[in-house]
Amino acid sequence: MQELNTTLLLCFQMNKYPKNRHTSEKVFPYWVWLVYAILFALSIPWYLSEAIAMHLVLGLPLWLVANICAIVMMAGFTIWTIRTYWKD
Amino acid sequence: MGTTGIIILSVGAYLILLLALGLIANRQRKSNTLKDFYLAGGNMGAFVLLFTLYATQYSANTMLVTPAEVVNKGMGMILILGYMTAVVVFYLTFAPQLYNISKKQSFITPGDWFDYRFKSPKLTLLANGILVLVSVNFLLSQLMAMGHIVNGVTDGQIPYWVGVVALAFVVIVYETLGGMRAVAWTDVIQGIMLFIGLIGLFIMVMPSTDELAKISTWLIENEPKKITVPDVSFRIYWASLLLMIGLGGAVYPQVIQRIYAAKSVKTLRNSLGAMIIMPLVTVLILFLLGVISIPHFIDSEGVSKDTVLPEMLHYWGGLSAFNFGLMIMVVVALIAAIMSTADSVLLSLSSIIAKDIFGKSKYKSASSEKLTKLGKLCSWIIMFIMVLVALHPKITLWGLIELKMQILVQVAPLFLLGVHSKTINSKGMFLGLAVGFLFATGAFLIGVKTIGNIHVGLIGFVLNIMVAYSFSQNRNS
Repeated sequence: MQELNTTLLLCFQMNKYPKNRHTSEKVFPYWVWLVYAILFALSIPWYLSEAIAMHLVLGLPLWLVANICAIVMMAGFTIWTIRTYWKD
Repeated sequence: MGTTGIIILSVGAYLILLLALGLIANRQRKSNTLKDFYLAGGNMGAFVLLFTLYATQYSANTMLVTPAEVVNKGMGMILILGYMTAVVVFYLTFAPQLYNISKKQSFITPGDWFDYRFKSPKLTLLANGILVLVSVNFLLSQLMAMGHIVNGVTDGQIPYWVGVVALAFVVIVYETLGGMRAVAWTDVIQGIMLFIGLIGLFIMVMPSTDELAKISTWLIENEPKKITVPDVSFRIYWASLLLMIGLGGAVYPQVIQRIYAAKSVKTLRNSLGAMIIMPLVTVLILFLLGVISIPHFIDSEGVSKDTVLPEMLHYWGGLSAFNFGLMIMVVVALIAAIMSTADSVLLSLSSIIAKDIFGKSKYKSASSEKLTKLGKLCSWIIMFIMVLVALHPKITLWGLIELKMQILVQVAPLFLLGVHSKTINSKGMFLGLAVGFLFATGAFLIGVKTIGNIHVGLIGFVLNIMVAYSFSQNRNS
């Protein structure tokens, strides 16, 4: 009887705390993270040559304006992603 | 009445408003439970949630450091815009899943998640120990900022120690009275003031593109290091900082508790969607204000990081009566920003100590009401000790941020891997966390902050994940 009680208790605990207690239901598709990686990479001036990067646009150097544009795109992409994929 | 008198009067009025909000929040409470006190009943709407997240994330560090770093180091400091955006992006990597399970399991603290997912008391204790260390560090930096900014905006008429003691006292009183509800309401007022003040001031003082071009040209000719494209080593540092602060900033305990406090998925979704805009209307404005401040500090070598913004606010406020009004609003909002971050950190800290540490040891059988009382007592004791430490500061704000983030990022895998990984287990996670923490702290303490321009915290984070996976797989196989 005691053994049965122990087994039942274990079953109850297993139900309450299943072995893998993660909640890995996917909310956003994988490609979303790839886009974020690209946008973050674009926000750092790896890709502009010195001559082009120092052109003044709106009074500021191009590399700085490019960074701000990448962040603006990231903000827009985030709003779109949340509205499209994150459901109730 | 002089400028300083008006500032003192405005700040005084704001402090009275905070105490009144604390009293109203106290009357609005539905019970004396942990959930009501620490999560405002878990019923926070989108508007309040947005502003409380905003006020918590944008602390004194961001407000004071951004323009000062632009003046001192130049335009490369636009990286702050990137990492504040990264924080919101990293929320999305785990917040949707964490929110769902927190509602089902009635989580109050980050430790509740660690317990639920890993079911290992020693892992929870280690993770909570790190969170307490980080929070104490963060709280200390806020208290020091209170003293500096009050001293700065009043032209030294109110000494540093009065700023620290007076503001800390007001914070602890309204927080004890109203808990998360009072904290969130004060955050809304602070957020709105900061919004109007910063945007208004920006519109008033922002030069034309021609004037900006003059500043840029002057920098190219006289201080090229402050404007030229950052070199490769700085770009690596930039990417490293972006990842480290993005990951670390997303798992602050006070932020995790705000995710738990959201009323619904829609509420959380809308708040995080709006949060992504905040760096553009806060950090970018502070950055540009920093750029136009550069000509004012041409002859100043190594301007103090904590005083650029207060000094510039004084200058801009003197240009017109309207500017003066906006300046007063920004000054009060800055003080409010510091207080709102301090109150959130303190609230979170006391919940971890009361519920996760005492509530799982000495007060194991204590009721929720008793633990809430214990949490309030903890808040007073923590604040008292921290004020004493803040009165003898020996380290700059930037130093504090760097140390804090190197450690905090080690906790991120408990959320990221905990939510997404099927293989990770408590033994692997414990070893990973211990290795990451010891590596980052050890390196930092011997004076090594970066290796190959990559932060030791980020290297520790990678080691943390590698060890966690290795030992989890060994056990599973």
